[in-house]
Amino acid sequence: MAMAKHQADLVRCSRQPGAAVGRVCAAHDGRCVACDSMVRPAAPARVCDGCSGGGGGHGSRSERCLVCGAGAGEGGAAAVADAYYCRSCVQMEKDRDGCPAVVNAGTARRDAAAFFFSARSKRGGFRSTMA
Amino acid sequence: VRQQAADLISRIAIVMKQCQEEQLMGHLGVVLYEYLGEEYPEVLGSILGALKAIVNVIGMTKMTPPIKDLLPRLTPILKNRHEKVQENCIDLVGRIADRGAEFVPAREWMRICFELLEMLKAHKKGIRRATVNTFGYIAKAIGPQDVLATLLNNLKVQERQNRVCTTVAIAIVAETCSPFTVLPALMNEYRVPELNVQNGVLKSLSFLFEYIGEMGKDYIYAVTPLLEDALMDRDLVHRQTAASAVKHMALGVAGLGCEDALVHLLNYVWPNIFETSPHVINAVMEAIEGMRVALGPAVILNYCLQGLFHPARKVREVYWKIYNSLYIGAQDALVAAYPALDDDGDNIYSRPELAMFV
Repeated sequence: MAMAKHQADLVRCSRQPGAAVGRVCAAHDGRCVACDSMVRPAAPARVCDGCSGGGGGHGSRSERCLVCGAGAGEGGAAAVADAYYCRSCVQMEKDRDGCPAVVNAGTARRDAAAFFFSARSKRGGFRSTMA
Repeated sequence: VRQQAADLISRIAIVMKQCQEEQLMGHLGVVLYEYLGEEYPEVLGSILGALKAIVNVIGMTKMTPPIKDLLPRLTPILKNRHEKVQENCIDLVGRIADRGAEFVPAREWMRICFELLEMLKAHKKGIRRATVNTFGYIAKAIGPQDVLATLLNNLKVQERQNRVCTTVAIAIVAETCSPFTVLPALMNEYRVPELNVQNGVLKSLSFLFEYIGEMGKDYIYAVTPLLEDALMDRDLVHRQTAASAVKHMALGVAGLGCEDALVHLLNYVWPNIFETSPHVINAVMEAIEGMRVALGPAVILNYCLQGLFHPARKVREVYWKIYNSLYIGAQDALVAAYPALDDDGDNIYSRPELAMFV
C-alpha cells in the first residue's frame, strides 16, 4: 500500500473489494495507494464493504483516508478525493491484491501519539493544553 | 469588498469581451495591477484570478499593463505561502509562459523557474499540477540548456527535499523538450566520482523513465551502459536505485521491442536477489516483476529453475519466493514453459490433453 515502501509495519486489509471507491486525504491525493507514485493514475482503488462503511459508502469510514485514516474530526476535512492505482501497478496487477485500506496505525504514528500524550500529562493534564 | 469586486471581474470578463469592451478591460487590468501589493492573501488571490481572466480574454499583445511589466511583479508573489495565492499566481504565470513567453526576457523566466521548484513540494495537488504544467511551458519557451544546467547543479548541492523537486523538474524538462536534450547532460553528470551525485542521477533517471513512459523506448540502449555500471557497483544504494530505474524502464517499454536490452539488464539485476537489505531486495523484486511484464514469465521462469532445488536452503528460499510471485502474477502463462520431464519408473510426468478437461 502507499507508504509501504517507507513503513514496513503497516498492514493492509486485503479483503475482497466491493463497488465502493476508496477516498484519500489532501496529503495523499494524487499518489498511488500501492506504491506512492505521483504519475499516471490509471484505475480507481476499490475497497471492501467493511472499509467503505457499508455498501453505499455513507458510513463514517467513507470519510476517512484509506492510507492514514485521518477523519473529519482530525484536523479539517478528511477524504477529499478518490484513491487511484498508478499505471505501473495496474500493469503488474497490484490493483488485484485486495482492499488497499491500512488497518493498523504503524509504529511511527503510535510513537508520535504516545509522545504527545506523555508531554501533555507532564504539563498538567488536559486542561492546560486547552488554554 | 475588494475580494468580491475582483471575483466579479473574473466572472464577467468573458461577457465584456463579447460586448467589445476591450478598452474597459484594459483599464481594469491596470487597476488590478496596482493592487498587486495587497496584504490580505484571500484578496490577493482573487485579484490574481481576475488578472488571469482578463489576460485570457484580451490576449497577450493587447494586455495592459504589458506582459513585460506584469510578470516581474508576479515573481515575488510566488513566494507567498497561501494556497489560493499560489494557485492563481502559478496559473497566471503558466498562461503567460504558454502564450506570451517572447514578451519576457529569459533571465526573468529563469528566476521564475527557481521559485517554481519550491512549489513542487506543495501539499495541494492542484498547485503541484499547475506547477508541473507551468514548468513545462517555461522549459519549452527558453530551451532546456540553461534550466538543465542549474537543475543539475541543484542535484549536487541542495538538501534531500530539494533534490527530489529537482528530479521531478528534470523529468518535466525531458518530457516537454524530448529526452535527448536531457539525457546526455544527465549521463555526463554520472561521471563525477561522488556517491551522492551518482545517486541523484540514478534517481532522476528512474523518475524520468517513470514519467515519460513509452517515450523511453528510443533511449533504452543509450542508458544501458550506465545502468550496467550502477548494477554492479559496490554501493548498495546504487544497485537499489538502478534496479528501480530498470523496473520503470521495463514497464514503460513493455511490448515495444526492447527485449534484448532488457534481458541484458536482467542479467545484471539477477545476482542481487541474495541481498539482505530490505530496501534493496524490494527494489530488485520489483525490477524482476517489471521484467515479468516486459519479457514474459517464461523468461523469468528459466532463470528461476536453476535454483528451485538447490542444496542450500537459503538459496532455495530466495528462488521459491521469486517463483511464488511469478506464479501469482502469471500462473496461466507458465504452463507452456514448464520443463518437459521424461517418465521414470515411479512417476509419470507427461500430461495428455484429456487431463486438461478431467
